[in-house]
Amino acid sequence: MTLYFDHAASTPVDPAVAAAVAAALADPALQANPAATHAPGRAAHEQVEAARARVAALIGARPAEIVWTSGATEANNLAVLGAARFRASRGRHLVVSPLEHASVLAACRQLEREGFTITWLDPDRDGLIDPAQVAAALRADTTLVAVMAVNNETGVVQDVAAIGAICRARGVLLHVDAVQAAGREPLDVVAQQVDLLSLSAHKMYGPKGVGALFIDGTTLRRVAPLFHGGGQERGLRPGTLATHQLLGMGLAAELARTRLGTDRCGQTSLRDALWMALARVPGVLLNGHPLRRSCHIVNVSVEGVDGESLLLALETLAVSSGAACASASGEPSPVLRRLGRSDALAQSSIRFSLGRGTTAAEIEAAAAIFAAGVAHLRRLAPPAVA
Amino acid sequence: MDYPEAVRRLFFNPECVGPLLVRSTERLCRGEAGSDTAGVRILVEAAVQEDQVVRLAFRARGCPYLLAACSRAMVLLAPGPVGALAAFEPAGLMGELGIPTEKLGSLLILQDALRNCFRDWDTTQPAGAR
Repeated sequence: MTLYFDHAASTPVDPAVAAAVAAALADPALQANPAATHAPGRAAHEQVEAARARVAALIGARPAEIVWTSGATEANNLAVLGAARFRASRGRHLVVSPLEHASVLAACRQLEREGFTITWLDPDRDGLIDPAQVAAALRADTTLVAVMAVNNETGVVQDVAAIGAICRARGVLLHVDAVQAAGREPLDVVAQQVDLLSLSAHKMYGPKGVGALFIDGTTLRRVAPLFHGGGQERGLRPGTLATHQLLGMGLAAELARTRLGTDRCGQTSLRDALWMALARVPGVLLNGHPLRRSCHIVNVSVEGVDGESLLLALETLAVSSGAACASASGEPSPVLRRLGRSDALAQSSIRFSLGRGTTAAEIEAAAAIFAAGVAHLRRLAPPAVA
Repeated sequence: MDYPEAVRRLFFNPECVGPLLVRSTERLCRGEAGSDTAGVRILVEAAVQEDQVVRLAFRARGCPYLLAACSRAMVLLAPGPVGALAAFEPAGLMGELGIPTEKLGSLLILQDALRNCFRDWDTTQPAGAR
């Protein structure tokens, strides 16, 4: 049996969400196009709008500020490309954290090809961005800052509110990828002064294939769409809305909001117990800030072992690894490299990510499997070079 | 990642893992290759009696394919003539264990370690004994 410690990659669908999605798919009253004006269409539309309100409530937004997308990758692309392109006449400079998700980084590289300039922030060795550094990087032609709330690899939590205050004072838009933060950290787009914020359903116990982008009301008409079509989502994201998916995300958001305190408290104590157990193995290093971290991620590097072998030694654990990243891209994790880890340590990194269903017994079992796996590889390893 | 069954078996239950203990009638020869910074390092130890490898053992840091290949090579080369260490070619093992071609670089480091082990024996032999 595999113990699941990969909730940062995807969470299991909450049973209540799965039931609601299945019921919506089977309900003849919800099969119409939600954009249609007839009664079945209006019934579907009502469900879509109820879901929109639930997603908005999760982040302190108004329902009209939520735009449905196919997931966070699309939301991040729409935010970065759409906002930068729309405001290109005002300026073509962006300030971006290099620790962003690939979907933000790739969108920024696309903007560079279009003639935009990016100032890359320089996180410290714990993965934190100093808000003062953001302030210093802003220029008269800066239009957008992008900083993720919780890093998907290390779980490090950024001071979004401080960065938001700086951006708002300078009239610069702030985009926050909040995919890992949703349901784990309090989110309030008003208090944190966020202009654009991305969410993904399947990272908060909802279905895959659906996400959302919050666009502040005053910014709403100042984002250029990526797609062109029938005018749904106020022309920002045309295409027929998938009622059952949106309903599922709405319920997932509702559960994330109402369970935030319980989930956060429970996972924090389990996370700390896991780290304490892992740290008993010599040569295990915590990646990211020891305190400013989300409740669900423990990322460690292991000295003196090969990452790919470590992953096989831990095959009864569903975890993510720097070795897995390397096999996909041919490079060690850029995030861990930015934190000053060597190629070898970045490659031997393992990310444990906890979820609602994680138990203390699973933590204990995972720690034992980890210790045994590392011990196996170290028994095989040649003695250290003097 | 899915690994061939033979690789999995040798990864979880490797044979011929060092350190090697030698008897008074045997000579301990060692060959090392690779580096920790490169991510692959192999130490091969051989118990040699005259020109015969009596036992071989390895210790290695590397991917599962490399660890399996090291283990299998030790079994294939001992007991046997010490000259076989220098003549080792990885192609046969790659076929036998289903090792993908992108891992050839790691297996060439195993080849280097075996050759260095042979050299360790060879350089101490009287000229006539080689």
